[in-house]
Amino acid sequence: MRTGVEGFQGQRLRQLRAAHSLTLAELGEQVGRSPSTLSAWEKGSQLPEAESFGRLCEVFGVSQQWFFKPIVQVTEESSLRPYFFRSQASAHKQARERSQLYLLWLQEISVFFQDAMDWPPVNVPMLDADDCRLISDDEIEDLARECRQRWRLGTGPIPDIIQVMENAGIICTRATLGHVKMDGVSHVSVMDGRPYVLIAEDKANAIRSRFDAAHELGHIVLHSRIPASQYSKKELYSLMEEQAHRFASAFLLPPESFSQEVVWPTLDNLLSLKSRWKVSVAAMIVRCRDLSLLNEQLELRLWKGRSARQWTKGEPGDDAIPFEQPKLMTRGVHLLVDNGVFSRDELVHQIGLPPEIIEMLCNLRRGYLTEHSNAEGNVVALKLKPRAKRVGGRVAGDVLPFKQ
Amino acid sequence: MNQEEICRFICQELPRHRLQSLLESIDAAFNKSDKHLKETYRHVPVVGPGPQSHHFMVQEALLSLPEGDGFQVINRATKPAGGHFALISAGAIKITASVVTADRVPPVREAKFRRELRQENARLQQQHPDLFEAFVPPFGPQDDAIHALLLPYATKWSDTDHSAPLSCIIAVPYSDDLNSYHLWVDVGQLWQYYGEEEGGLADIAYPKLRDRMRNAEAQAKEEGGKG
Repeated sequence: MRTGVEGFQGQRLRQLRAAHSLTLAELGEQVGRSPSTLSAWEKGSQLPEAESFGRLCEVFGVSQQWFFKPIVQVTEESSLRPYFFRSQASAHKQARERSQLYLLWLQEISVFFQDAMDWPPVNVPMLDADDCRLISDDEIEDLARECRQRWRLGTGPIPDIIQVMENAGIICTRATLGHVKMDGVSHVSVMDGRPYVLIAEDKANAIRSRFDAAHELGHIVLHSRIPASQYSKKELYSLMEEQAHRFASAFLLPPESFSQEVVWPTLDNLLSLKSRWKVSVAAMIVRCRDLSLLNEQLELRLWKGRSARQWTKGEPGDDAIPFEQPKLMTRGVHLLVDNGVFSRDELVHQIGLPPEIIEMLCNLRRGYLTEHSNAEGNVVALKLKPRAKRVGGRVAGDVLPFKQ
Repeated sequence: MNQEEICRFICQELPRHRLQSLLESIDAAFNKSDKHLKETYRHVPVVGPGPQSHHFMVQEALLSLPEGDGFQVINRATKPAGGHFALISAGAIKITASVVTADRVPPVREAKFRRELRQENARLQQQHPDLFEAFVPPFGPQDDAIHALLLPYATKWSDTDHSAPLSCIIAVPYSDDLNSYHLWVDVGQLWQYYGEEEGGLADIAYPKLRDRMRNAEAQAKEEGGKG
């Protein structure tokens, strides 16, 4: 018979350990238990006793309730939906794991919020294709155009991609993952059928961040119905990444207007368009190639020229625009708190995650959840200072006349 | 005024869709003229009729542009008489278009006979002012108007394809010097100044409290009130 804290969810411990990048041995040292015991807790074959349970909550800064929350399990193969990672091939496994966890927690917070409120309805055209090999470039261009038409974006530059996605009911967040090679992750949730997107904020480049967001939007539009088994195949993974790239290019730079503006694709001309379209010169070169605005020779010359100007490390104008900020989750928190549905303390307690993680995922001001709760709980009566004593025969605060 | 200010001024006076239709009509004129040249001249090198055909086709295309909202095109006669050109008025800007062949600078020479004629005219103008008509602005008096040149570049006439302009320059020449320009930029660079004026995106990403929550709150209040 198992003894210990009943209802303890071992997978929650596994999640927290992964998010903090701790090994079993490292965590064992902090909790004062052996790695094998911790492993047994994670697998569910053993339960932690009350003392160790309290220690775990303390180490991770989570509420006790957190460890009792069951994780939504998808049993049917057909219901498995992939997490789409935008990362360089060399991105660390840890970074992927952490980004996936953050996105999962974001979904849990969002679903919890939805007990009390409604997000904007999902208004995203999702391609009904279960095999990515059947998606053609023309289809991708058409879908990008359809998105623009549905969201009434015209054919000009899009001022704020995150805003467009949130308007369409996609929940977005920006999070620090601690790895610069990880760009973002997206997923259509099995919990509420809503798309969720996480954009990494480790790279200090708002232009790139916009493209990352459009890329994730591409996955949502093109690959929502693709089974997870396809995404795990290496050759199909590359194909899907290319397709999401193509969508991002087509969505950000529509052929009708962009090709008209690129009269003569030189680096200087493309650079002059950068501040208007808020797209990197590199992405514009690729787009020009896709639209047959340049031949292979000219493209090669542009890449060489770009490299010679040392733009591979950073292009001029990369830091000219501010980062786009998600607002929907922030508004959700404010709505609940301002209407008295939850106090900030209750909110932290119910969600169970450390306040700083909630603040990051909901894009709240740092300290929003902690500072206020402290202030509420410990109201200190302010004493007025005693009246200042007379100094030099005058009372402090007397008005002295100016000498003329 | 620096170049940026001139670009902003042009964008302010010439709406985005007007500039777009100007460029589209020039593109179409190039295409049409190229097609016509290829169909008509099988043996004669197009270096002769080509530039003229492109020039007139562009003028024709510009004169066919729809008018309205302060945008107007007239067919203006040259002085001395003999030629015509399309003169576009968009707000406080006057625009004329000339097709320029790539890598060829048209000679603007200070010929001896022109210089002598000018001196002669200057002398005669003082003595016989009635011989010289005063300049009448074609669209009425305007103090703050500028004249911009739209210069589509055609490929060399020894090449085979002239169906589209290589690029298009927008230029604002000095009023007293034919070789100097206040502005000389690719027309593509103008688009960024339109971007500044474009309206923002609608923000409709707002969550709503569920009605049942509101009802529950109201009910709780009522119950509290009764108690």
